[in-house]
Amino acid sequence: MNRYSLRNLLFLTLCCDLGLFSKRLLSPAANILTDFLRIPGGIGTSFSLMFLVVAAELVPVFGCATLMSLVQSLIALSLGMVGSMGILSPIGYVVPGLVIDLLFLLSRKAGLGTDLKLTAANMLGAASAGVAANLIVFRLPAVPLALYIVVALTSGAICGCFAGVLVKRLRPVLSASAASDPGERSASGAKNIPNNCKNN
Amino acid sequence: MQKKLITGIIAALVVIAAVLAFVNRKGGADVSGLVLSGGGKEITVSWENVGGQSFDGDLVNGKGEVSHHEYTGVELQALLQANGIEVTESSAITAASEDNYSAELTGAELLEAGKVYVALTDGGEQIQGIDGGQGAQLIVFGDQNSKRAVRYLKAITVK
Repeated sequence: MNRYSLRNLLFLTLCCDLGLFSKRLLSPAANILTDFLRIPGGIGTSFSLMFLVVAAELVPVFGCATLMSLVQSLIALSLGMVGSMGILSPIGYVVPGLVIDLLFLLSRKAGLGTDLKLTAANMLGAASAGVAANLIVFRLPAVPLALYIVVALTSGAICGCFAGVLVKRLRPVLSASAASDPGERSASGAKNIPNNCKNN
Repeated sequence: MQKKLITGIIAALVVIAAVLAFVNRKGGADVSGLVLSGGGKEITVSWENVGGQSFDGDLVNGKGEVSHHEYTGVELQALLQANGIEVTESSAITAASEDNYSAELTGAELLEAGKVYVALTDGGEQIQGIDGGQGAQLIVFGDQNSKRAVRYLKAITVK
């Protein structure tokens, strides 16, 4: 299967948008808990990163999560969804993307199982987003910072489990879809159009 | 095996989060008062400990109208000094309110006797916080308008 197939790129786009906008949908509910805990967030980010993790697992291209996070940051900037980080918000998006990609790279060498890999990627991605936000904006004292990171890790672990379930359900769909479409055109294959036309 | 490990990790994190949440809520229990920051430390002085010195003076509002007020409270310089925060002529002081309004003061202004106060009552009546209860207001005598008369005063930062 072509890694850069149109199908894969569409799937990445879908996950990218779901990750970006689901955070907005979940935030009001998540804020009830984070306000009670007196921390500035962590739960919505974990849920948002779940879609990056799913995409990075199903589209095995190195840099996939980073690319998606970069696109998310550009969309967020262009729509003014910058939150408390302002113009520095791309850092808050890209750092977890990088962490997820690095963890996927390391997990291949370490031979981690899929579930553990997805859980760890979601956990560390969420924690790195929390650390980045703290360095840029919040500057929390020790205890609230520790709680913020632990909540991010916990919600990241739970969302990582959901990511595992999603991957198990989506992988056969994507594989079947790829198998039933032998004439799959790659997005980078625009130059191959004449050949495709000949085939037709 | 993996599922057991993941469940164990989540359970451990939930326990740690619960402990930290307890400590965080206990430690951060609303100490209602004025937050003083400077010289690498941050102190919350409860309203009862701010002070009860009487002072009075004239204030000018944005229309140029002059009104006389009798306050109780404390001179800001004395309050900072009592809490070990040093102010020099070159210091920059920010007074911030609960609704994120802020005003700037210079160290020279703060060191001028009888100029900058934190008021807790005005004309014998309690100055209220944004959610009711005891609050405070920054009083800067000599200003030509009331822009630095910060209501709902919450924090003083010295740099």
